[in-house]
Amino acid sequence: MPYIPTGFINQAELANAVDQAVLKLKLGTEVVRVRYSIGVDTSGEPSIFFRVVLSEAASREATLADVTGNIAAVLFDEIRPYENWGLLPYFSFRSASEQAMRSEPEWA
Amino acid sequence: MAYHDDLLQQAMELAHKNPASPTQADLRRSVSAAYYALFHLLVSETIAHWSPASSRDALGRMFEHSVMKRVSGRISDSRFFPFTGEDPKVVRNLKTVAQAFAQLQDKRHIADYDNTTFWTATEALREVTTAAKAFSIWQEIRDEKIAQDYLVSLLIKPRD
Repeated sequence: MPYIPTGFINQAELANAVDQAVLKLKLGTEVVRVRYSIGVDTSGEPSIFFRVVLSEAASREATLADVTGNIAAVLFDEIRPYENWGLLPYFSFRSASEQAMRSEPEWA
Repeated sequence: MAYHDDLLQQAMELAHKNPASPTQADLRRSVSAAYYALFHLLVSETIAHWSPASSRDALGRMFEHSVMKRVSGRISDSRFFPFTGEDPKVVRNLKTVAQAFAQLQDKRHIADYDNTTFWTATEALREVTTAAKAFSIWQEIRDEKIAQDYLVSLLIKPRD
């Protein structure tokens, strides 16, 4: 896991901002849960990595781009990662069944 | 078909190969192809405006992935790009394309080099469909001034 000096970011404030943003999502119907971590991306830029577990219905290919795009837009607009935190946002999405098979703790 | 269209189709085919038991190789290559599809779309759209057709390919070699990513990231930062007075829908669409590019480049790097990251079908398909959506959105905004400005900016290293 990349290391970011935590002094640059108030972790509690960021957690609160993420929590507030997650409340704006369609929890239950589309989104099972959202996890995140901060680190650096492949270019070394400070970044926030969102991991979103989707319901099976929301994971259908026909609507995947729209559903995930809307989720990313809500998180982006509510948290404003560039302006408020100096972080580049990245989003990853899995279905609940995929996560159940993998059981990776950072998604749990 | 243009090269970028071929790449997008390849990405889609790889993401759908062996749906019951997709291989990491297919999923990771699909993500990589999706990034390069969008990369080549934006490059081709930029160099198409260069009058002498004979030197367009040479101009296309001038693009740097890192510069393109930094510019694409900054498009969504209202401090750098306030887009005052611009059509909000066009701005939103341009940001969607730029964010897709920045995200896909990072995912491409992970897909190509990081053997510790496991890709699920949904994760890979999300990147491919994001590229496909960026393609369709680009067709809507490609003639807009801010979209053309974005293309030019992809060649210019941002100042900190």
